[in-house]
Amino acid sequence: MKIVQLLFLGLSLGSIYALIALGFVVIYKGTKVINLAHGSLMLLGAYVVAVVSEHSNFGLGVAAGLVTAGLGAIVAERVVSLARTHDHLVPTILTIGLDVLLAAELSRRIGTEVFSMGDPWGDARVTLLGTVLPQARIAATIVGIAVIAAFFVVFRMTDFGTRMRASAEDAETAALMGISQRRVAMVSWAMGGAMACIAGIFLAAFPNAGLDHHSGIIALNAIPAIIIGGLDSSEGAVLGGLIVGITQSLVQGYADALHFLGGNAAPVAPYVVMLAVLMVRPSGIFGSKELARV
Amino acid sequence: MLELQGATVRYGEGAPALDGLDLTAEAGSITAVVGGNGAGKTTLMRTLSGVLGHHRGRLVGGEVTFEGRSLAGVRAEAIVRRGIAHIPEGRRVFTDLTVEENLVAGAATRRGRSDGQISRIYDMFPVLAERRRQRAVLLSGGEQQMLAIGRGLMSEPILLLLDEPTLGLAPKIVAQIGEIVQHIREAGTSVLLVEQNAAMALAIADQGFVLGQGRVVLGGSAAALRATNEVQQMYLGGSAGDDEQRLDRHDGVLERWSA
Repeated sequence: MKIVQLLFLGLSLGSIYALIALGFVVIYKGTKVINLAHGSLMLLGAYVVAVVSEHSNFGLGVAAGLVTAGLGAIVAERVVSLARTHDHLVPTILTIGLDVLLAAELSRRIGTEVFSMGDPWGDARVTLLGTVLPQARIAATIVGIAVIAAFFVVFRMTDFGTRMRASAEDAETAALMGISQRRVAMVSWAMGGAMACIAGIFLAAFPNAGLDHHSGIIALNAIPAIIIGGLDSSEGAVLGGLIVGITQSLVQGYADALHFLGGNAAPVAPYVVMLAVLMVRPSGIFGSKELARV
Repeated sequence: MLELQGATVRYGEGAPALDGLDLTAEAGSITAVVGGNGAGKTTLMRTLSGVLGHHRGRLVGGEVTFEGRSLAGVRAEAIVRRGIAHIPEGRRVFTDLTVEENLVAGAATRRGRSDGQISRIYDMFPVLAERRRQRAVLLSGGEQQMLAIGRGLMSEPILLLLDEPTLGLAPKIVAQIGEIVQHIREAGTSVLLVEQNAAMALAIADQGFVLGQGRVVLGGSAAALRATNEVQQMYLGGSAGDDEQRLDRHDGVLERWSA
């Protein structure tokens, strides 16, 4: 039953990566900026959850973390929008600066401590289909699926979501329809920040040790996910996240059999999958092909 | 209602795309703006709808007012709220959205439900009602133009800016678009119609302007414009020659007007 266990763990890890990847993609679709400060925003949200949970309760901690990560993302968007340029590479590079600043400050605050998230699942385990699984990972899967489903309902079935999609397709024409580009940008970033916070909570929860100052780096695992799925595709982000999570879980689980690859192939494996996908589909599985009039 | 006085627009540090343009559009009328490529027609539309910044353009001189209030520096979405809707050249429908979603996107400035206005658009364009669940990319060129017009009308504008609505369409559809524009005016919305198809534009307009090199080179009632030799020669095929002769005449007439 090892394969079932690994697949389920991969699915739960994939749900977490999918949340991070979806955040990246929402921000990219809304503003054409690749937010390289996403890992730091995730760390910020999870850090606030841990601190507030310690002094009150987990629910309040989550609320505080979501608000902080959402507002932090809006501040980041306002800062990068100060670059008065039509070249989207410039604000993308600015997010590297923001990432360095935020990561440095959070590292200073966290120091060498490892924070517990104060979540209700702790290190409890349950037996499912004959395999033992951490409760926190089951919660991650359920919450991940629920948040992703809620996102698609808003994006596909509400007037607001329709305007977001219109703006993502053609920002200038959307502006001509009276759709506020500033509001679209702020909402996109706030949604991305909040989703990163939720992912951060589960990445720090059991079976992982807790939140330390390196936790933000885990967000980089979403990079192969968004490239596999397609940078401008929400569906692609979810699929890419699941592929990365399951790949990592399987490679980690069968590390002995894959010994010839070296001792730590799991973090590298998603990039191998990414390269394989790019060779067949250069825009990712669901990504739009670049069209140029010549 | 709409007034431009000495409007001057530049893209970057280049030569002005609008060079001291004077133009007025009266309430309840169709105003046609005709001219060749590079005359400044599309820049005029971008100036009025607040999207010059998307093209690195800026209003560097003159005044642009709508209903007595300046439009200089006003954001596109605020201009829509003031009652101006711009239907850009090339239709620019949201191809990933369905027909109905395109109409919903056009209702961004409306408060409350937009179902009533969507019904009115479907009454005006029954073909859109039939295809309401289809993605806009699957519509024909003429249907896409109808959708673009319907989407523009969702905000119930006072003034509709139509940029080259007949571009690339079959003659039968061009005639249909002309009727639709007249219907829109009769329903109470003023129209500023930018067209290369001067015959169609001046046939339905109340007044017209001919643009050349970013300035108005000729203006007046549409009937009077249709009767001028210059407009006859350049745009209405009064004595049609081959393309090269027509181009020579275009340059010659512009020189005389600009002198």
